[in-house]
Amino acid sequence: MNKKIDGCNHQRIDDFLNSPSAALDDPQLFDHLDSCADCREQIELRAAERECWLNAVELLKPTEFDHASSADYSAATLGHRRTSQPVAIQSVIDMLAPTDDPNRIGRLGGYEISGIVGIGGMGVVLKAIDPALDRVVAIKVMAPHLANNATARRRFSREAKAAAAVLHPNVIPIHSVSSDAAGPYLVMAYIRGGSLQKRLDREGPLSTVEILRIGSQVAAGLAAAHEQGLIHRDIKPENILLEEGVERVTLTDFGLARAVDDTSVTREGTIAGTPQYMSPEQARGEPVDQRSDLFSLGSVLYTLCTGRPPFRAESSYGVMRRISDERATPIRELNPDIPTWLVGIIEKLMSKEKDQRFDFASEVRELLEACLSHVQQPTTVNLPAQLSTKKNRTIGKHLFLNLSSRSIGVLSMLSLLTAIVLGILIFPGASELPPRANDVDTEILGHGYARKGDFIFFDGQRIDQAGKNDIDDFARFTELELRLCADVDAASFKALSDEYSKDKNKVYYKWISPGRFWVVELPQADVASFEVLGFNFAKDSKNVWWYGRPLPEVDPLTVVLVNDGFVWKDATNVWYQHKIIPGADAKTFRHLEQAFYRDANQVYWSDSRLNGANPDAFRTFGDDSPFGADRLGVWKGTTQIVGLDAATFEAVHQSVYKDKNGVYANGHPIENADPQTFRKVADLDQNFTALLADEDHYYVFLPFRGEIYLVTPTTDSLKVKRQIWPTGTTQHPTPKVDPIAISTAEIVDAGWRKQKVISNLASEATQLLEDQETYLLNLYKPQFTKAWGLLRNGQNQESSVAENVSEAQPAEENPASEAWRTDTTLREPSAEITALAKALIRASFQYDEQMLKEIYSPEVQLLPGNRLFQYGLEVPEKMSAFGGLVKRDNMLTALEKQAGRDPVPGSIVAQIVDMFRIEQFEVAKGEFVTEPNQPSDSQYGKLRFTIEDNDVLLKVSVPSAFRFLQLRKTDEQWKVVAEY
Amino acid sequence: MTEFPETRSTLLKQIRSPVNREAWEEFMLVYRPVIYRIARRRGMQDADAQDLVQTVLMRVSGAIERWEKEPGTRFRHWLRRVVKNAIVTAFSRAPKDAAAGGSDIQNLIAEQRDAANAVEQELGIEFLREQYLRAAKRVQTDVSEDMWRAFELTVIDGKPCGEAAALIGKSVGTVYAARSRVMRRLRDHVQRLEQGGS
Repeated sequence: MNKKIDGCNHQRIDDFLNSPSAALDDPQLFDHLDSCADCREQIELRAAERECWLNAVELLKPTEFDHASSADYSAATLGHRRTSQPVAIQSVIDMLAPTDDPNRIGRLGGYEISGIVGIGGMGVVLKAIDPALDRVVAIKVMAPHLANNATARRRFSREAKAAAAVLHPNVIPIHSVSSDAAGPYLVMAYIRGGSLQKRLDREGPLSTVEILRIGSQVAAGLAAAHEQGLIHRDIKPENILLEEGVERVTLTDFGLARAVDDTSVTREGTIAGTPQYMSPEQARGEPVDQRSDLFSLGSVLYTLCTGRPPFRAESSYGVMRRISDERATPIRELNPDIPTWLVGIIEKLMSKEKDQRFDFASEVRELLEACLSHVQQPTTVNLPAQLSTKKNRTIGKHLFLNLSSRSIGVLSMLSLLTAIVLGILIFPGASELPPRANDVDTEILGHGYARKGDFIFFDGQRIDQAGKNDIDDFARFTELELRLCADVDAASFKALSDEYSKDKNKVYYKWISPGRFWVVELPQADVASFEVLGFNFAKDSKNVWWYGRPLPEVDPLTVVLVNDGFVWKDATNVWYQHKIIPGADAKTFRHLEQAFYRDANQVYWSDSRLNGANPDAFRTFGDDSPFGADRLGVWKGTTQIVGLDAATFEAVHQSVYKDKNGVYANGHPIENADPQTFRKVADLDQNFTALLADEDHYYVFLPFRGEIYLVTPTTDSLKVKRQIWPTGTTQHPTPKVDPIAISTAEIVDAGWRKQKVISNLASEATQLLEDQETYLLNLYKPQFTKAWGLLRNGQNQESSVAENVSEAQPAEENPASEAWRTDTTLREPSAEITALAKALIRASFQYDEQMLKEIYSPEVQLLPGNRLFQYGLEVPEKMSAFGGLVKRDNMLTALEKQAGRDPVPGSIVAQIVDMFRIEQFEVAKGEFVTEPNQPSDSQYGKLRFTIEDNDVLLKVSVPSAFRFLQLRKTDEQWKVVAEY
Repeated sequence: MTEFPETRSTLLKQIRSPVNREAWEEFMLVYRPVIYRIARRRGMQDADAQDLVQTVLMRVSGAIERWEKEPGTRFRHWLRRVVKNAIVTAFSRAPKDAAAGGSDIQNLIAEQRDAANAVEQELGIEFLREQYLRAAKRVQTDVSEDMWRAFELTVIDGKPCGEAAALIGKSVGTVYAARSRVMRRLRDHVQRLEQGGS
């Protein structure tokens, strides 16, 4: 059978493929394949369809969860699958040199690494400080598993060289290319801000101005790259960075870029990168030139217009097939606001045939820039000639008549005219620009609404105009009869909540979808009696309203909210949203904690009864804990947990709980833990990793799958140890199974050492456990390091465990000032002022009415967006960008509600108060305006205070929140006169 | 060839009989990882994802007993629908009754539809992934180690053929031939799995 073959023999290939043999048994064929590129292609085509190859590449890769599962879901897991992405990151971190600075994670070359920005196609991007120049840089490190690969190393250096050669404001600057023992790395400018993808995720489709602005800059960057003979090959929103605070767009990640004349890297049959923005020629695996990037640019612009990529499918293969064969849904079907001329440009960019696209990126840049000037100044700048008139036949032809034949019909003369008219309609003259909050004649009405003259605005748009184009589509989509509001009486307009509003004649409801909204009329609602009771929840004399629709069965006269958003009741029934909870006693039904409720006879979890639970003895364990217990039973949700001593049951943290007999993590006993003293000591991060302790030991809890480690500090390390249990078993009250393994390790300044898993299992299974353990320990290294730090300090000061609580809060890790880039000066206030601020915080937490009355002035200026408006405080009649005056006594109910929302136990209130940072602004008499984005989450952008002589303006903050307080001394007493 | 755990009608009959533990186990082997991965991708922790797998399979096993085979309805499609419904239900029953606040309200209907579509899509991908993984595991035991390594290094790990050849000590032509034969068998197994559902 092993005949010699000289020429190509397809039959022989088929025979080989079909042979049932497990061995490689046709050496002549292999020799032939060594040299014959044609037969290589043949054998692959004959083996399986392209779709199958692509699926194999895509689907057989390890997923990010392969390491995360405790249960045996690995039935179908293949062997040798150990380079999932987290591991790649971890191995990069591992190769960094140690650093002295505790806030850094390591050192590379002369750079101090402070964090991880992301993962690219070929490596990991780190954030670092360049101490020599004191600037922040981004370092792209080649993933270690690739660094051993000569081809990958070559591609990496080529990327570096190619990208470094392009000097342009819209291309990321490369500072240097270096290499050390760990492999090659690339030092780039660090762009503060986010990717275009993030913005899309956040805001949905962008406005025409933004699309043109971003599009022209991307085209400019591409033009510069193309001039150097460089094709990007991977233009997509993730690779387009938007610099914070500056209107600059930066093109990054020339990860796949390759010089036009360099074809030495052959196709290896794998798809690199996201296929969604590929050009048809890329999808078909054909050679590409600069026009391939232009197709991708078109796809990006399409996405900016519609909020979604043009070609979507279940698999990469499906996407690629659509790119090459199908036409994307017309843009204006998805977003009618996009002018037709812009649609024309995008369609031309996205022509399937590359010679029907534009020839050069520079052409596209010029065109988009011209369009941008027109849109910004429609009265003085015309649309580019080739777009606005057909008289200039040569250019017009150049642009439009080359469109694919399908598009010619769409872009008839008529629609060209429409485009011009639309362009003018959409971008009215400056006099009609949406009002901004600081315009003098704009009145702020709360909940984002503003009044200007005879009209009401929301988010810069007139509420009776916004969404006019697509209200019918939207109504069809919701299957509701919706009518956009009209004839709104601005003078009597009142915003009742984020959703509901009314004027003297009508009630309105606002529907929101990302990037857009529609204010519709509620013709059935009774204006006089309409009031909002809770989240999306309202009533009038005839109906109860939820999400803008009546709940016909609920009695509006007796309705009461039980748990906002979920449960309400009237005199006869209790509802879990639309459903009556059968048998519930409306009179006595009330909310406990989490999803637990009770009435006189029963305990409930959501809408289900807990059979046998005694409501009078039922205890819950905080808003985060799904556990509840009476004297005889313990429940997690509706599931009863057997074998525990219910009378002494207590939930400690996440899946850790205890009774008088023991402490359990995930149902397994914690060895030697003392249930009497076992408690949570501190959080180690914001994702439930925690330090726990009893009288003699400390423990670290990992939320990964509820692991618990016994941790023991020594003079120079932290020893950790845990028992590994077989999955799917729980054991109350006494152990029925033994742990399958014991894992031990030790963390020192340099990282983990002496890692060991001892087990009686077969060596292969032990190896697997060891791998999982290594992964886990490395993943949570920062948290273990933090625990060690805490315990070290605790020993030195001989302080009790509880005192560590405040230190354990991640207050320093993520200083609020990061988001605050500001020119204003902050300093520490006097002791007197600090004490007053602390007293106010404490009084707010505990609702100390006496104290609040003492500290707040009888009338307080509250700025727009003040949190109290979220707690039912009515927005004052007169409100401007400076806020409105509110009587202190009216604030009390809202303050009480707020205190009740997040009650702080008295024992730790002092520690919580101490976590607040109190700083004083240097302000002069006059008007003080905050910088834009301060506070970043205020929809008003800037806050304004009117400062008088000797006033004090404070910023009170924790990493996640802050307040501004303005203090003034009257009658020898400091009082709060204004706050945000 | 009956070595595959198919979800075809004969197996269905077996599932209906609660005594046939083995058939039920096989069925779960296929669907557990699929549901688990979807749950994890949606941000659930390991323990919760496992709970969800249990919940969904319980619901499905309940539904299977009620199922009457409709002419023209493929079991796999029907099952996907049941699994999808079970997952959507499981997700809409959020564990914590906390009201979402703030102004960032998505409208309710759109959210539910999007969720259903997303689950449907993910289900498709994960189901296909599971088929490929199971087929690959099967193929792996059927071929010589070198042949499998040639496929694994170049297709799964994405290494160039030349490098893979150096690693396993074979010629480049051998690598091309070996991985193609593995691919052919993989394809055949996947097709058989697919037809099993009709």
